[in-house]
Amino acid sequence: MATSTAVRFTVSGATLSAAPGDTRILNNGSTVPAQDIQISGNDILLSGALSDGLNTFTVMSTDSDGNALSAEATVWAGSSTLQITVSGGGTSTATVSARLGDDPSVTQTVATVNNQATLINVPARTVLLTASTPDNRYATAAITGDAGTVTLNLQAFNNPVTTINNDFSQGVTGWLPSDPAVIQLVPHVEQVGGSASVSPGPSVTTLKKLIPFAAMKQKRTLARAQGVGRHLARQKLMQPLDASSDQDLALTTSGEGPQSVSYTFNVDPGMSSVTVRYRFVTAEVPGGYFGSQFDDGYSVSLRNSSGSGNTSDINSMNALGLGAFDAGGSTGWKELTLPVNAAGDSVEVDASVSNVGDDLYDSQIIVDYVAELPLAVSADLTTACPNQTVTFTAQGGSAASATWTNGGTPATGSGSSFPTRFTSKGDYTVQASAGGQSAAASVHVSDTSGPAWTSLYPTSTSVDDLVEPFRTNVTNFAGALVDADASISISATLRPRERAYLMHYAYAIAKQGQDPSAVPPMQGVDICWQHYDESGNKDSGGSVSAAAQMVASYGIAYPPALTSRHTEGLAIDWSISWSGDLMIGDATGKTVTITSTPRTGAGNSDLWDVGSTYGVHKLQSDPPHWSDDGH
Amino acid sequence: MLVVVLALSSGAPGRALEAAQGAVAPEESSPQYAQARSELAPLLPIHSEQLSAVTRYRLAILSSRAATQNDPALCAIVISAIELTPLLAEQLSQIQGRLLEQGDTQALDTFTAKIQKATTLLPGIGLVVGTEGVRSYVDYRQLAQLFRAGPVSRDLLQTMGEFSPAPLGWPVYLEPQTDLGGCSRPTALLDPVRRLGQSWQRGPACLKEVLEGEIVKSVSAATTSSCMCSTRTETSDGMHKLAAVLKTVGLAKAEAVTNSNVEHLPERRFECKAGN
Repeated sequence: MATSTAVRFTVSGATLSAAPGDTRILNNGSTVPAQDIQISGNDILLSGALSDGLNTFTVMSTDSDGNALSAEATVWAGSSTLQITVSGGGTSTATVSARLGDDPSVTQTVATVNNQATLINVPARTVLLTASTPDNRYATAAITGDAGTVTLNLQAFNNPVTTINNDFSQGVTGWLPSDPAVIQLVPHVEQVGGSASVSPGPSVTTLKKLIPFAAMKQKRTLARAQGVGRHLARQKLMQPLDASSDQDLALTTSGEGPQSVSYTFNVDPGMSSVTVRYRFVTAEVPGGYFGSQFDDGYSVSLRNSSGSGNTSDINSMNALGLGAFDAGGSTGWKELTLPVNAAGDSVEVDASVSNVGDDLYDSQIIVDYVAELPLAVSADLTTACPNQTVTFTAQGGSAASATWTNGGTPATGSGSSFPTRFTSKGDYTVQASAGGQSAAASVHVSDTSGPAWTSLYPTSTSVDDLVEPFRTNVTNFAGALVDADASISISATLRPRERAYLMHYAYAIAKQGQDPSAVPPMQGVDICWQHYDESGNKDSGGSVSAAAQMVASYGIAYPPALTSRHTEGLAIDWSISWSGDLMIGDATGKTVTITSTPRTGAGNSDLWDVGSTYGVHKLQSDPPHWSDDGH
Repeated sequence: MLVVVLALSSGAPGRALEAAQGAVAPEESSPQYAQARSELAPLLPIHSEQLSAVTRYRLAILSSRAATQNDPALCAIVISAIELTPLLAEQLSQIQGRLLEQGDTQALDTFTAKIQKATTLLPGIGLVVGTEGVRSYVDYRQLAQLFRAGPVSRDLLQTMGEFSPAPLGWPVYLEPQTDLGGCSRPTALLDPVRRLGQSWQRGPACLKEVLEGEIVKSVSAATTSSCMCSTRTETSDGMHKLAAVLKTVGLAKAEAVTNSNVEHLPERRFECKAGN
């Protein structure tokens, strides 16, 4: 609004005190003179109280009973008229949009008449302008509201380049600058940006801290006189290029006003979208000018040849907020994506960056790459459990309007994200369709734990599965036992590692409080220790119960080790018994007569000695257990 | 002097505290505590908190030998042994598991020797280094010998020792077939339970409360095993006999468990051979 506009505050729900001294009003922290305040009934009228730019009013008053009243309001006001000329559009009517750099919510849109448009009551702050025509011409600029006039040069859709140079591997070929001197290649830097890489713009609180114009101008004038500003800014922004490094394109301001670069290329058929990755860098931030009227801005836009789509990011330093910048004045990397015709399309990338307020402290747009992307689908899990929620996500192109099929529960869905659950083991492929394209991602659903697993990976009872030389040693010892009329019964030789894994963790979950979701996976064992209910919630009771059933089915009374002599094929569990005296040959050929008791392999130490001569040693603490080394 | 509280953080401190009335031991700041801890620490590479509990257990054993004994003190020791043994076994098994994975036979031998030495310092706590891990059991017979409690308590403890006899601590009902288990023969509990009956009714209340819980665990494990040594008929008959004997002794909870498990016998394997 105009700075001359009167501002009215109305009290509701109370009767305003009529005494002039009961009402006090602050604007941007300064007291509004009493003569500018009129009280009329429940209305407070301010005349001539608006200043150019931001006005933050704080109203303090009382009602007729002496109760305190207060209110706050923010008003942008301006006294400038901005005359806009739109060129390059022939006789077409252009739509001009203006947005206040400090506050993106303050906008105005007008149509040109005879290539002219006028904006009134514009604050002397950064204004981000765009102009577009129905035939896909486009222009942007960032200026101060008190610039008086500005010309927006509509850019036609350029002819696509013959050499694709999306990643600057071909230097700057195909990238058309407003001035050849304003683009150059710079080394890629990935880790950039402040803590808040995306900001909707400064809050009212931030705006209160805008730097006073007069003080700022004095400081900048001094810097200009010393030749400091540009020199320092250039030094910071321009870094030498390491030829071996990843290269980015830097578009840099040169003097006051905008500079731009365009790149037009044909998109391969089958692609669903085009993405440009970029960041904004301004020396104003490290220079200390954040929040000032030197609110440098930029725009990055994507549009296709058919004119059916365009997207843009137009912003300024103040609008981004200080948190968006790192100490060097760089934002984080940003991406802009435009859906394209999958049958083939042409896309133009336009970037501009403007030095606003004066010609000091340069700014840049740095472009990392332009990417052509097909519709893609990914899942947050590659392997899931029955009833566990798996979220599929579509990216690229018209992902937001994707329709989903082949899900579990639910079976179908829409939108860029699709959570679903599958109830049983298997491989599932979920498909997304959007913009005439389709893409899919798969998830493998493992089997839940339970007693059915205990029949898998059986423990061997064959001596043949032992490893040499223990196998031969056991064979010889067993032969001697049989020759001596001893009775032997083998319970276990080689235990597969998979079985040891299943036994170990079943016992740990059932008996030792092991968290089923924290069990490490074992390659080749497609088991889900963690169970889920039909709603996708963890079912701890079901997990423990299933593990307990496995323990019962295995018939294990003690916790199994993941690695033991059995998993190495170096142990045998067997029962050995005989009656009367046992006359048995040892490995040296000597016959030993065992008269001692008990007449079992578990308890007779004389037999243990005989076994040792064969290299089959008894572990005394485990009744049926013999091994290559007694462990 | 400090009242001994032997419960671990994961145990049942309330029960131990109640039972510990009258049992006394040197304070943790005492030279005796420091000495006991320094003896045990090199042998038991366990968490500090558990080492403290084990140290307190050793001091309680030593103090009880020296002091005038009573049933609450005895109960406190028994409770502590019951609570400590599985926790020690679990931690030590993890250590042994790592040694097995490393294939360090010498370290395994050293580990075994240390555990054996530690058990000599901790009467009542049975630790056995098996091929898969460290098993544990309460060595009730050692407790019976250590304590000059009344003859009834001593008899009860002696008989409890028959449920998992030293030195292996393998449950009497479990016929070993592998390192980790075997088949269950519930009738093996008949004789120990009958012998308990000779002194059960005259036993001190706190001891009976503690031991009954352990008897229920044994009976439950024996009768719920999925792998039975005998035929179905023999197993069923044996469990009925066991229930009857338990009833005679006055072990109602264990009797109820046995009767309940008879009803689930069709789910078991009989003449079973565990293959692990």
